[in-house]
Amino acid sequence: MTREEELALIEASKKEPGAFRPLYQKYYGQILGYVAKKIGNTALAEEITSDVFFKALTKINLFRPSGHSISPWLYKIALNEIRMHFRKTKKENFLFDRNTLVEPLHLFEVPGDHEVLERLEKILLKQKEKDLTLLELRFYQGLKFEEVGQVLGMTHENAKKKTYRLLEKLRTELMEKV
Amino acid sequence: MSNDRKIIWNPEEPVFLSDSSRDFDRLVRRAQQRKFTVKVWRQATTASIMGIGVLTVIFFNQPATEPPIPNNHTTPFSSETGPFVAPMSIVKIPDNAPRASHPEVVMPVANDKPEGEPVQEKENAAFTPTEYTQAYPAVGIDSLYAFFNAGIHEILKTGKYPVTSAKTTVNFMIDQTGRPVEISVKALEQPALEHKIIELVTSMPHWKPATANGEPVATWFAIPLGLEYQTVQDSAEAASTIRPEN
Repeated sequence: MTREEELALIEASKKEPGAFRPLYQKYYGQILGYVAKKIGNTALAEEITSDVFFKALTKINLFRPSGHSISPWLYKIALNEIRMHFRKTKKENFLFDRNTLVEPLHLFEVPGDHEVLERLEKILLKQKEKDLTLLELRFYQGLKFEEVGQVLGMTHENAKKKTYRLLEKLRTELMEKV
Repeated sequence: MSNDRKIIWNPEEPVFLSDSSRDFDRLVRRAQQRKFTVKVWRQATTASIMGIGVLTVIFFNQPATEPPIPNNHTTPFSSETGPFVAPMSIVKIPDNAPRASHPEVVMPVANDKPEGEPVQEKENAAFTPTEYTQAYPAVGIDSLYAFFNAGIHEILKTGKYPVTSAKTTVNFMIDQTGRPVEISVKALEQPALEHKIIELVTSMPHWKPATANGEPVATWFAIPLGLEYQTVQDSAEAASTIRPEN
C-alpha cells in the first residue's frame, strides 16, 4: 500500500469508518507486537491495542498527514497508552536488540560481551525515558528518523541529532568504565 | 516516586492464542456508538445552556412589582397608592424638595361597603373587571396648566402672601358632575394663601368626570405646587410653576 493510497483511505474513513479496515489490517500486528513486548502480557496487549485503534478511529479527523504515513501516529497513540499502563503498574520496560546496537555503539571494539552488556544496561537505565524511547523506536522498532520525530513530537533533524548525541554519550560512558 | 525500570534485551515474539481483538467490525460499532453518545451529550449540553440562558433572560426581565389589580372601586387605584396624581408638568419644584406624600388622604369610593363589614367577605368577593375612563379637564390639559400658572402668579404678585414654604399640595375630588369638591391645601401655614389657592381651584374650568362601566364616579386628584421666589419679601417677583408628581 503506497502512502497516497493510505492517505486516500484516511480521508475516506473520516466520513465512513469502515474505510479504515485495510489500514487496521496492515498495522494491527505491528502495533500489537510492540505493545505486547513492552507490556509482557498478551491479553492485556490485545486490549490496549484495541484501545489504540479505537482512539485512532474516533480521532481520525485530528490526523494531519503532512506527507507521512499513519504509522507514527499509531505509535504515538500506542506509546501514550503504554505510558498510562506503566504509570499504573509503576514499571517501565524498554526493548533493545543487542545486534542492532553493536554497530552504532562500536561494541565490537569492546572485549567481553556479557560484561559490556551489563554495563550498558546500567548506563541506559540512567537515561531519561524520552531518550530511551527514542533509541528504542529507532534501533529496536526500526522507525525512520522522521517517523521517530513524529512520534516524539520533534523535527526529523532534531531526532537525528539527539540520537547521535545519545550514542556518543553512551559510548563515552561505556569506554570510561572499561 | 520513580518507576521500576527494566531493559529487555532481544524480547521474544509474543504468542497470541486468540485473535478476537482483530474484529474490526466490533471496533467500528464501538466507535459509532461513541460518536453517537458524544453527539447526544453535546446536544443535551447545548440545550441545557440555552435553557439556562432563556430562563435567566426571563428572570431578569420580570417587572420588579406586580401591576395593580383593578377592583370595584370608583378609581382603578387602591387606597394604598394614594389619590391619583394628574400628569401635569407645570409646577417647578426645587430639586432637593422631597416628593409630596398623602398618607392622610383616603380614597373615596362610589360603592364603599359599610363599615364593620367582615374583611374575609371582602377578600372572597369575586373579581369583576371594571371599564374605567379617567377624568380630564374639558378645556384640555394645556389650558388647565396655563390657568394654574396664571392664577398662582396673580396671587403671588400682590405681595400679600410671603411664602415660607417652597412647596405645597392641593388635594381635590372631581365629583360625578365634574366639579372640584373637598379642596384642601397642605403645608402652607398661611390660611389666607391657602384660601386663595382653594378659590383658584374652585374656579378652574369644568372637568369631564371619570366613569366606571359608563357611570360617572368621583375621583381624587393631588397636585403638588412649587412656589419659587427670588426673595421672601419680594414676593411680587415670584414665579410659580406647577409640576406633576410622576
